Amino acid sequence: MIPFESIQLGAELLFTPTNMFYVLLGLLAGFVVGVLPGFGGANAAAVALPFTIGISIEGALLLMVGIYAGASFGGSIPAILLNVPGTAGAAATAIDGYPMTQMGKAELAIGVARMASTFGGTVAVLAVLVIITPMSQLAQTFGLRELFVVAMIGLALIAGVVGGENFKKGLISATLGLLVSMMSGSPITAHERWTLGFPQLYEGVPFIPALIGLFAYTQMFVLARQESFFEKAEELGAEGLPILERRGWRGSVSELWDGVRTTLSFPGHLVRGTALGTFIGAIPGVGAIVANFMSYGTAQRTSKHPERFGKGSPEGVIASETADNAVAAGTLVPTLTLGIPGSATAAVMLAAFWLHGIRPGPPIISEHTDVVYAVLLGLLVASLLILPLGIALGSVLAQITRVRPRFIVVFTLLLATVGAFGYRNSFFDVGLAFVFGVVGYAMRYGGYPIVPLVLALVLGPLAEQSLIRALSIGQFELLYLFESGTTQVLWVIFALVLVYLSISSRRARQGRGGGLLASPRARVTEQDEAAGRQGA
Amino acid sequence: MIALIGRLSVPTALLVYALLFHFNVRDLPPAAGLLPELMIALLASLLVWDIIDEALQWRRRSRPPWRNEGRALWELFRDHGYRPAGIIVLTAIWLFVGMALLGFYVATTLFIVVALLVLGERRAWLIGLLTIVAMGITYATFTTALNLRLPTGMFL
Repeated sequence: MIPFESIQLGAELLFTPTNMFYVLLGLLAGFVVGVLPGFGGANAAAVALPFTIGISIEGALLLMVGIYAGASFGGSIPAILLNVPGTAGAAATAIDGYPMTQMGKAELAIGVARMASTFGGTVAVLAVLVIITPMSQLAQTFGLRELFVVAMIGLALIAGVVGGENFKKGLISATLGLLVSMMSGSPITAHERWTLGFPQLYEGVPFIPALIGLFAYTQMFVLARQESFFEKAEELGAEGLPILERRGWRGSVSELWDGVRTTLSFPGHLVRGTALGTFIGAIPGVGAIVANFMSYGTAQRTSKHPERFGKGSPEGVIASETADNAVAAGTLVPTLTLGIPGSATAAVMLAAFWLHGIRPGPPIISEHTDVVYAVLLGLLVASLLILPLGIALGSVLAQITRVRPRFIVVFTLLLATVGAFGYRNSFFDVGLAFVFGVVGYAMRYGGYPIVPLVLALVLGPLAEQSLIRALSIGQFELLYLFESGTTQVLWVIFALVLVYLSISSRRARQGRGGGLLASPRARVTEQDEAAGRQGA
Repeated sequence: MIALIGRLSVPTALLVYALLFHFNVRDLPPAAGLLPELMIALLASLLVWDIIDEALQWRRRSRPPWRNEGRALWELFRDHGYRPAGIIVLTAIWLFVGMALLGFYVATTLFIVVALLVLGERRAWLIGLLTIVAMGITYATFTTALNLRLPTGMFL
């Protein structure tokens, strides 16, 4: 069942000095952007995207997976030291990580996070290596109409989960993304559809400038309002950045051992967190926040000491961080098998495929086996490297949060602008990135999530081509879309997803739970209340 | 009232966009125009619902006593940090236009200096150092490592 030949092909491609350099570079960049609250892996991957034009496809993707893995771990450092999650996924880590810091156990908390991240990332990739080929074979049985429905299910999930309490705003964002993706020539009849007279739009809205605008520009406009990355920590009463001890190599080995021993003494949390992270990551759009909180909640329910959760229990950090890095591997399953991005960073990876002339979708594994397996093995190597690099760079990374946001803003805007230009040597792309940046900023101001818009932009052409071609096969009879057994099952799933998300969103707004859609704040409150009840 | 206008501005702008899209694709054959029209109908319905929802929510809340709306707008802009965000948007426009007119080196130098000044940096030596470092890194990455062309204008 284990595809040794494919793994060997991937390993041959990965283990070259150049490609290993890209993994390492991505990992280091991911660490840095992960510790900066509000920057995140997707923004970094979007800024890095134009830089990959001059390098090979596997090099580009390995850089992205390095960023993904690095940012997943990096986000835990400010969460533990300052109670400010560097990435959204690290919110659950802060619940126990920050109390550990207050108890003088910051090094142990980071050591545990590092080991749990390594375990989650590594085991999840091993699982994905085994399941991805059968999943791909299943995906290849999907026809055009099935692909269309799967894309719609993915978009609905993304709109619901990212939109949170306001499913309607998530849907608006996703629908807008689909509409914008149709500002092009029709893929079937070649009719022009409101391209505003720009010939550059005739083949569709180019992803790269759009992603740069929606991620990098928008986030920098938001960060420009901040004087310091500490603002939230100061509001929450943090006294300042704790100084991590520099203990020489003997101290580092001892620190490594402490983290490994503590983490491995909770094998149940490790296995459950990895399984939950991989499974939830494979559902398009659901992502790290949900996986981490579900893993945290499960760990609390199964722990021998649930009363210690929220008060500095290493078990909470283990559960959250294991799931966080396992999600990265899980998101690659729909991304590589169906061409449907599992997360915002995966959407940027899909754009990298397009950039290098590869159309993502079901045949990708059979046509580009070596690249797909090199990417998975690259994520495995990146996860393993978190352990030594995290020790070597732990105290340096903690200092990065001291950098003033203004320097990050100016430098990122410069790189994003030059990157957008470098894509096709065109000022049109720079203007387009800027327009998307302003649109993204306005949408955030209006409370509309950006991620569904981004994923819809990526999925739009796939969904439209699948629908129109399926309809033309069925002589433009709408019933054709419901005729096969698989399609009927998928339509039922789509309807159930919509109903579930609508009800959950309504319940979340009314403060009555909300399942997947409960806000992180509500989840924390629920965890606190549960811990209080159990403690009492 | 300013708060309501602020809340409605984004969905209204999106609704106008959807309507303009509709007027541009309404005459197309179904193979080209069917999906855009479906999306426009869905988006417009959701936006109208959102606008009504926002207006009702605003109406339900207790409204503050009447005050100078222009002043309220300025206070919102100043106190919530929208001023630096607005200025950084303007400097980004400059970077785009400036690169096309004056080229990478001149436009970038002016962008970094002005953006850092408006964002509160006052140390001239640091601004100078960062300008040189940022331009050096960009040049080394794009021109030397990736063999890509930097934007040129009238000067360079």
